[in-house]
Amino acid sequence: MRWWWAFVIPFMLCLVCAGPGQATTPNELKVAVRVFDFLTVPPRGPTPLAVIFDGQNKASLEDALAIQEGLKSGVSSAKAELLPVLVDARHLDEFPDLHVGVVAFGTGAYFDRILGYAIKNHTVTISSDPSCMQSGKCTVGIGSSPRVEVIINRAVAASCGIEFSEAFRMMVREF
Amino acid sequence: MKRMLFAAVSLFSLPLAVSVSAQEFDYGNYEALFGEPVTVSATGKPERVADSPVLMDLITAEDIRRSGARDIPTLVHRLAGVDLAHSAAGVADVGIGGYIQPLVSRVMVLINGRQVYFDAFGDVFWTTLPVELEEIRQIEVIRGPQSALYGFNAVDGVINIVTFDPVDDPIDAARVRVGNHGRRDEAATTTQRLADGVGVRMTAANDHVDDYGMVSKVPVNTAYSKDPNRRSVSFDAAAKLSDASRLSLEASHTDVSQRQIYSNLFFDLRIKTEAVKGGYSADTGIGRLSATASYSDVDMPWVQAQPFGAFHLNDRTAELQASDLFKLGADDSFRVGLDGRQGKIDAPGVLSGTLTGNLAAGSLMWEHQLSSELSTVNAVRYDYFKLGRSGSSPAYDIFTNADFDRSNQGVSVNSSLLDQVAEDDKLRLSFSRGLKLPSLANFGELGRYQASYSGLYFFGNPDLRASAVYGYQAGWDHQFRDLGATARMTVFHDMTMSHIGTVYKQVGNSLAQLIEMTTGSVTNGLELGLEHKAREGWNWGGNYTYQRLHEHHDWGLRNATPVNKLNANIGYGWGEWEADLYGSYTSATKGMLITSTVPLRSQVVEIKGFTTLSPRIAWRPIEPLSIELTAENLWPYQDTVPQKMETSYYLTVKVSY
Repeated sequence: MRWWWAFVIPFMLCLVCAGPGQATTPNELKVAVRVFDFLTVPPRGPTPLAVIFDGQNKASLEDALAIQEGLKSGVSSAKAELLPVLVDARHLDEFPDLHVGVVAFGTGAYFDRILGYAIKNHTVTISSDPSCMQSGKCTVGIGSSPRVEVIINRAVAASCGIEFSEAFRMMVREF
Repeated sequence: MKRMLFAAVSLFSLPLAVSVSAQEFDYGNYEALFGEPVTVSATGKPERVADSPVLMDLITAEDIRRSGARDIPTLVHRLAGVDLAHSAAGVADVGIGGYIQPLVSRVMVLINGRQVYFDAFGDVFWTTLPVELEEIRQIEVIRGPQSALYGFNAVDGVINIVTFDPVDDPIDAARVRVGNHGRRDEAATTTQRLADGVGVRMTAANDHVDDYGMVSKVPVNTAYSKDPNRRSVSFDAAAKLSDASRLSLEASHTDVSQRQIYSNLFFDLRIKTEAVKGGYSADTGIGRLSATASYSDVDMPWVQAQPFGAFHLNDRTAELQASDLFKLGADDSFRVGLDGRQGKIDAPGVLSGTLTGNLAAGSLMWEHQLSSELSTVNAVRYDYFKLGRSGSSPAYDIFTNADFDRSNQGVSVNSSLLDQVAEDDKLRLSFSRGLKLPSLANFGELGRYQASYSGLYFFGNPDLRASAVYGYQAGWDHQFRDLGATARMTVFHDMTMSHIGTVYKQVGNSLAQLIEMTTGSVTNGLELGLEHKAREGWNWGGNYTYQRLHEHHDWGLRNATPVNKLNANIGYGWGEWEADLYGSYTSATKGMLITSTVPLRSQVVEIKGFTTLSPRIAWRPIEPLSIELTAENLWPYQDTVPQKMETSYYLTVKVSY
């Protein structure tokens, strides 16, 4: 990695984390589910979506419930009907074959486990929690304030065998 | 040898017949993701308009809906740096950056990436464009030379008209408009979903207005009076073959009759156009490959021209484009493009023989992200143009067909830098070198003026060459988040190394007009803009342009360029009501007046500065229905010597379902 990324990544993460900070906002959720449409093989039709949280962290659980509620109340991708499945990060292995996931805030204690799951199941993990990106455990980091920002972690994407369309890659930041 | 080179380049391009075309890009989904407009026109790669390193304005479908305008020239004229010159009721030429002349355009115009700029005359016949305002997703207006992406002739800017996607954006609407001057416009468009991922949109339109505004109503002029009529039918289909590939097909027909006046010379003409375009794009292991093939036929079955009588004209153009768009690593995006084009024109009486222009071009764009705040885009394109002439020409012709066995070639460059100086501030710097190729008519016109217009012979010139145009821009954008407004300031400096002009030469025993390359010009200018857009509540904005054109020799260009222009708009939306007011001020210019005496007499006359006000009020009593009352300009004005734009009132009823 080039030296200047040491300055750039914190800046981008600041962009990503700009906003209320400790919960996934409705706008961030809208962005997150739309990102799935730009996979080279996007989900189609009814598709279970893992909402991954830390069951021992009340804030994380509340964020996951808010994400679930948002998805049930109409936030959806253009190509798939995303069906939220609440997944406690401690029990990830009990939910094999979930290929798309949103990581709630406050799940940091289980980032390694989430990454391992993503690699094993080729799962795209998206989070508006900056620490998930900071630690290089999520595929995509998003932010929506003051403007929409999407950052792809190329190393994580490659590890998970995930590819995005060429035009999409040109419109977002990668590192 | 050169012929072999051209053939080799053309053959090379054919199997790769693949281009990034606006039509092949998924505007709707990207706009929904980012919550702001996106484009591929600025650099050839997809990007958010706010991130574009070039000076670009966007007119969205919502802007169009709120505009009250009934044509594209009126819409783009409200942007900074755009000039209009009307030559009849509803007939206008569009200029950017100070160069506004009748029957000459230095602005490349495209519909979904298909060139509608008329190479044969080097002009755009706006009334013949097969597109209705209801179909338009956005109009992208780029200022400054863009030849490195769009080739010859995109030297003052590019206007790309992007229509809605027939698969993802179903548009169903019917519209009737009536007004004074006998205005009757009807249009209907419908979108049908044929299967999952397959859609087709069909549009038909019929426009009529009584001829008006002729300043000099002497019988020799009124004989050319013609009610402008326009009929248009278009068809736009697309199919998503898979998640990664897409096929599109467009076809259109327009039939337009109109009068036009240039420097007090009257024309009465009918223009029929047919066009078809197919496109294919796919995400592959080597990037996003795109291919388009198009064919257009422009037929003028009659042109009655005051200075040289009646003639007919036929122009056929075929084009193949190919491109590959790919990203290497995290910071480098590339676009490689190939372009092959052939134009052929016949117009006995005003052109010599059958003129052909074959073009082959290759281009490369590279965008590099230097840091999260700083990016640079560099593009280069090489164009090779081969001129040819066949068939017989009159005995008085001073050139042979062999004289037309010539080529023009050159390199265009665009280089720009975008710096996100602060969260709300952006700096844009750009340098560009474009190329303006003479039109086929410039190369090969041949005829004789009527006796009342001097009786002189006139000749084109196959020795003309492409002229370089250099552009330098520096711009600053600032977001006022509390106001929800964007401010923009741009300074520009353009240099045209040579123009095309007319000289008099002795040919045999008589004097004749001959087209030759002449001296160049320089334009300096400043643009300021401030804009706030909202669907509900207040909408407001304005822009100011100052531009000075300096010619090395007076060919009339500096006279035609208004120095000061101001546009402003204010609007309010509440419930089912909307009210908008658009105003503009254009400072005085000068124009040429030619009087048909023997010998011809020409004089420069002043065109007064003018102010226009165009109010609009709209009511939507129920969701699909809107009723709109518009005045195009509340008092008459002239932006050219022979044509007066009188006040026009419209009542428009539209059903969108």
